[in-house]
Amino acid sequence: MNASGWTQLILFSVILLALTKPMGLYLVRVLDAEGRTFLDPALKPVERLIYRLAGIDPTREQDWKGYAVSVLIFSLVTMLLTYLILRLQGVLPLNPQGFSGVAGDLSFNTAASFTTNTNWQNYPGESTMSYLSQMVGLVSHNFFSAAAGIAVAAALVRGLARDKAATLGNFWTDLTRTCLFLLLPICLVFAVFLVSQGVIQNFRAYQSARVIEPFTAQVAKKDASGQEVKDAQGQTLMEEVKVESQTIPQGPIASQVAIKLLGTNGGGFTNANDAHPFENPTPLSNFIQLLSIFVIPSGLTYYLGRMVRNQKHGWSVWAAMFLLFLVGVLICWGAESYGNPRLAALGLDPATSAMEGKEVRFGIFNSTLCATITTDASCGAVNAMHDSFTPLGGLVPMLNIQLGEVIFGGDGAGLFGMLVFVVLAIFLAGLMVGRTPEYLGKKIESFDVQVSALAILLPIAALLGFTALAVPTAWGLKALNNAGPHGFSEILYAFTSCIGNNGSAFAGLSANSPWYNLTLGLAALIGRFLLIVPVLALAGSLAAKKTIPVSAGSFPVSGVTFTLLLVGTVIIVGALTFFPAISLGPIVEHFIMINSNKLF
Amino acid sequence: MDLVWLIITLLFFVVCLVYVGFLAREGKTWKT
Repeated sequence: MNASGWTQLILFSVILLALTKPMGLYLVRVLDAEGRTFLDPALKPVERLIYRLAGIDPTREQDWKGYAVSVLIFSLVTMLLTYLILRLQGVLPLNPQGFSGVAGDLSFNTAASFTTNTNWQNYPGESTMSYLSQMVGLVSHNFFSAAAGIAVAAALVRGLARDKAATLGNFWTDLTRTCLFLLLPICLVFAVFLVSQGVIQNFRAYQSARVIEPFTAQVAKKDASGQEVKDAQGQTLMEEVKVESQTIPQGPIASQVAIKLLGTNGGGFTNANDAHPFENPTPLSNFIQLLSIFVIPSGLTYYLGRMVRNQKHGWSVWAAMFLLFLVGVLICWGAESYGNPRLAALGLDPATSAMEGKEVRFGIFNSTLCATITTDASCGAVNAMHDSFTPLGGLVPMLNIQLGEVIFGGDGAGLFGMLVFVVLAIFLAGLMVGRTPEYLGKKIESFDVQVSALAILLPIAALLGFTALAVPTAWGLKALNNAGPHGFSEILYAFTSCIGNNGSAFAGLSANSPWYNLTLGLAALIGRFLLIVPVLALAGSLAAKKTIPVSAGSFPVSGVTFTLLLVGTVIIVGALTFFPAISLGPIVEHFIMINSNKLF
Repeated sequence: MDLVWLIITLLFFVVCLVYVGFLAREGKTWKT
């Protein structure tokens, strides 16, 4: 843990704090159907045109059921469109590499993954997807899913802010305005900045270059039909191939990278994601990319405070998120700086030796900062391989997702996830001190607690259920490249990542098989929509309530006590739920590493 | 095989719509 790392961490925190208020104020304008922004002269006519073409009446508000049905129908239609594009990419334009259509199971998994803001990728992007698939099939979801998340968060905040109201806003208006006035303009500027750093943006065919040092590699032997040749025991036969040239991918990368981070999506154009120099070439691009992941979720806490006319509450939620972020990054950075004691026993300096799976351009601190941020938010873009981290270093990203990705979280999803925990925390505090649970003047009643519990418990049950299904089955184990507790962590991380709509992989799991494509795709859908539906029900229930004036008997929702109560609720729910599972994975792996020479 | 994946997708969203209906009914039941 060196001075350079501390300086970057402080700088990152200060800039994030400074951006929170301006972003929050801008969100207030964007998420108001009649709000004015400095982009109105250019974009207002476009907004009106979209409403006219789509038949949207921006003045007509929806109740929670109408809002939820709109989210679901929009997601279903766009998911089916993406499925179609991936299946037909072989006959569609913008395919200079001539990639054939994507297999059905992989298309389902990818469409589900991108519709839900997960961006779990069971394929290497640069050798599977045409430019059209990347730009239309996938990047469109990066905008839509982020905007849908922000829209749902705005609906919940309106539910808190309104008094005896039947409606929560209009989903189509929120979606349109968020894409048009927030995501597109920032991405345009961001993409130009990325190009200035060296990220490429073109439609060229892939280039071929001679390698400076030709080498021989062992690859699976294939027959004339392209199938792997097996021996009598069923083992794949290998053959030696001399490698003299290298294919260098091209493509519209800058435009995809900008929204993959700002929209907390995370799906890389290339398989190496943000570790690839075409996606993340410099330390400056890395720093700005990390900042862009948190900027909208952070601004949404200010938006919350402004909308409910209690700015201290917004800052208290921000403080709870920041505290959890800070603890996570310090544990992850500490674990990686301490390194593997087996390497230290060989005389290597642990502060510099734990570099397997990390980019030398970024080093240990920036790898751990990225791992923490990308899993606090539901981003999933990685600049280092989490699979290569020490057991405790790898535990942090996994636990961040398991806590519900409420540590700033995904665009919108982080805020509505955290507000569900706020309802739960206030209910628990009410039980402890004998007060009637009340949140910002709204009585928390049985239905509110039920839907909050459903929002938390259903995705968790699916996560642990799918993991339990995969671990003892042949299809589950066949995908593993590591044995023992590390192998278990790889399976647990995969389902954690998809349920949490994160998309980062622990790596080491060859999950492109029909069963994994099905279960991971379903996990992503469950983690998104079985959370959004009860959240909107909660919003509708809160909106319909009468707002009671805050009195001495009201539970304070700002200040240190509230912040610590919220942090405690998040940790206790996460710890109680996942401690048995993580004990079998990273924790037992840590003790085996410390107490014996066995590594996995 | 495409039909299988399309049916799974449609079924999932039908379940979600049923869930909306279920919570709407529960919301009325528990209204105090």
